[in-house]
Amino acid sequence: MNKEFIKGLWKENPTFVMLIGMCPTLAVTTAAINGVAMGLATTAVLVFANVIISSLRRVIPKAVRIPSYIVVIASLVTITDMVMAAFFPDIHKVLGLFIPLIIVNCLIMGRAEAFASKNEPKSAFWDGLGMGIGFTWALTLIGAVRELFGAGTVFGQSVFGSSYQPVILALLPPGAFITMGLIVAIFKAVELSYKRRLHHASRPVSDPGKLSVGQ
Amino acid sequence: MKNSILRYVLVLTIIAVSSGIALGFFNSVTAEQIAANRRAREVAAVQRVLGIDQFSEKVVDGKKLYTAQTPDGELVAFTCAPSGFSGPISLMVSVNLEAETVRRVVVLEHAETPGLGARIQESWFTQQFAGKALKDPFVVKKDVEAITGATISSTAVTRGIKEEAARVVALLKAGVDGE
Repeated sequence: MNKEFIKGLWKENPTFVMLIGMCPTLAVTTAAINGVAMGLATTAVLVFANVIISSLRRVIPKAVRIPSYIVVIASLVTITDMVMAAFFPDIHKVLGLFIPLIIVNCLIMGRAEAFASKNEPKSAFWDGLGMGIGFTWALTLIGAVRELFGAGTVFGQSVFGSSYQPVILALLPPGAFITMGLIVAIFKAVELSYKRRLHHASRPVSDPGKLSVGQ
Repeated sequence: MKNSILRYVLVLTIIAVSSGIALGFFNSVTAEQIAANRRAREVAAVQRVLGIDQFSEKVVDGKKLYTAQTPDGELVAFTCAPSGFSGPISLMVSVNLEAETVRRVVVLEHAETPGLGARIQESWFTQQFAGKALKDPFVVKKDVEAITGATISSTAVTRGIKEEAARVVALLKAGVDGE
């Protein structure tokens, strides 16, 4: 495990911290399984794109880097689309519409521009994998929450029983924004309280300033 | 300056050509399997809607029809795609040509609202078309029960079936007369 891999999981999580790649995040997460599939497809594209772009970083002139990235990413997405259509037709049927959207997922362009073009292939590989997995778990979580409230199931397994009246709002587009907003808020709260505790722990127990006030 | 432009063109060309080669390779590897998957899905849908494994295919006036002989009479299956609330609803319908009734309706693909229009897939909705005479009015809330809160989707399916069934029956009749 290295730091390039770790950072995408939580500290620089693309979905909850950097808030990039919102289009697929909001569009596909009507069920947990869709989140997993979209996340893994994006991870595959991201890892390959990062490694290829990083290996070509000295060859590609700065002026034409954006079109070069787009050609590489679009080709990888098309290949992913074909491979999924051939070997995972059931998942492809659900995600078919969204796979071409991976091309314009700014997560991939963002990592190409911000990381892969400045680092060597090995770190770019770990960066892509970490960001991809960070993206996958984030999408799975949003999908699971929306599926839980919108259909009463998680991964197709009934949770609330058959008497549950589904909150359809959770499955509709506004539900994506609401769920996403709430999760980001919880994420921030957890992070803040963690930082505060860290801050308190690093201070000496008897704070001279406080003592002087008390005396 | 001139040199750098040449370099840009060269690098972009090389990247584009290598991408093209990679795409061509993956296409040749997957094309057959993708076509086979599509075909398998088509056959499965036809078998489901006809309720019989053996069927023959023909194209009449550009419309692909699947026909089968059963003890109940000659059946014909076809697809149609009426516009729903959010995009086309892809249906496969089978009709009994002798009795001129709908036999079965299967929803293949749709993009209707989950929990509302998406309920067109539920069997209680599609089942009400089974055995329905093509002469019937096919009017939602009269002889077809609508889905609560999804009148547009219900109407789209109902009218799509009626219109396409009438067209297919007319096509087949015209074909017989012409022979």
